[in-house]
Amino acid sequence: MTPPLRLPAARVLAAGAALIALAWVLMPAPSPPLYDGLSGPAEAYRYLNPPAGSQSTPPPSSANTTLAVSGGSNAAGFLSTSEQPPQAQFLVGQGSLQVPAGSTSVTITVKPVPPPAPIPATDGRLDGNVYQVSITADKPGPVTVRPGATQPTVVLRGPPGSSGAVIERSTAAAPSWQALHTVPIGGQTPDIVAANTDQLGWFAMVLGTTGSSSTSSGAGGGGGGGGGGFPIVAVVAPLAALVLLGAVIVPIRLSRARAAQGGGRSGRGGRGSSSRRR
Amino acid sequence: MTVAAARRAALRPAALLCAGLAAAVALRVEVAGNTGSASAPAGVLFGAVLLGVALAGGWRPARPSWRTVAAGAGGALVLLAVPLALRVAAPPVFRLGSPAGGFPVWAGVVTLVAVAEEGLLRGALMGVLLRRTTPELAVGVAAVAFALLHVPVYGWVALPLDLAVGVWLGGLRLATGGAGAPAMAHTVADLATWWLR
Repeated sequence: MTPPLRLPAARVLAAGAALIALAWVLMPAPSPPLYDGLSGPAEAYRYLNPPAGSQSTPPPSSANTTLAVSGGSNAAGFLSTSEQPPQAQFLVGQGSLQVPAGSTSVTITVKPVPPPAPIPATDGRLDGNVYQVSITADKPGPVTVRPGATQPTVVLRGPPGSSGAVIERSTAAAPSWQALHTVPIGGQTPDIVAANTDQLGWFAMVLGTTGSSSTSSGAGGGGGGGGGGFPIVAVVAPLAALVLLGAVIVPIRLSRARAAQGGGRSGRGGRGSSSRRR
Repeated sequence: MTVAAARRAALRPAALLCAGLAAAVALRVEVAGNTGSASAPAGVLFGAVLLGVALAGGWRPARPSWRTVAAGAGGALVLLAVPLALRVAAPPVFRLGSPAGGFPVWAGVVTLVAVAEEGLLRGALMGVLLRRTTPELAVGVAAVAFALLHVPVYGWVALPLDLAVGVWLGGLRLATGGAGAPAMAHTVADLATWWLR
């Protein structure tokens, strides 16, 4: 321990707070994790059928999970593939599934598969893998999304540059691809999008879809930080930082004043130099 | 011995600490491979090496005072101000990537790494530099080292923010006289990523 150096500390803290605010304002959209969490940048996209020239990676992973069913109502559940971040995730709410009578559990599987049907050129081009989401119960019979219940959510991550992609769905009953209302997750990972679905089947990210409902206003800036985030970062956050800075400095100043009152002049002028000469 | 030679000799411990830091970073990158910062074993190894270097460099953890805790908590709030504001503006609905293992393991590794980094940078390194240079220079050197150590893991894009954060944590070190407050602020800010991502 060295004695606190209050005057330079106040200057340095003020500079640090200002720099933090500035760094957040200037930082590009795919920003790093906060400061040193264990989650790093996205790993290279794992293709089921790698395009020519793509980076060599392990094959894309599948995922499955089993949910309990009680009284005909499934438990809420979540599963994701093992990539960092996951390339496919599926979320289902409690009671969202229509299950065969007498079922006590359902198993959800998400796996990368070849496209069950070609994606029409008018929709755009396939961006990444097609993922099949299937659910089976421990009793014979189909498992479907319960009409009127909260819809399950599909989350897909595409290769870098996928921001703006739309999730399309193909089902056994309706093999043609259909665009879903797609929401960019935004934030630190711009290549992740999500959509709710009222049917199970095959899901893919499609780039180049025009029209449709590809983005939701104010959802966080989709591809680059967007207009919605700027005022927060540029105005509100620095102000909050300054207020909080005061919350740190004021106690220090008060403590310093008390020390000055109690200890006479001995502490005055001795801050940096006393430490340096130790 | 000339003045320049004396100064060089005096700064040798700082250079050794920086070399130890560089070695720890290289080890982490090597062990982590393409899993980057998601590798818990690499994080544990990194933290352990940093702690060893910090202790060898003379840093000794001290019992935190109420002032240290208050400064650490306030420091964490400043670090989290912008992410919190962004979270309020656009709440994330989904998990964007689960760290290795569950929360207890993740939190343990994150805490170890954060405390070890602070023990070395704001503890040992700044302790050495504060005896031989100005406080501002000591903060600057530690902040640059802090920013650079993250580049191999997070890329250059992380440099500006980490540099700024390093200055802030250095300020906490100056204000409180020890590495406890920056360690607490750093740890809390890192742990908050579990909820803020």
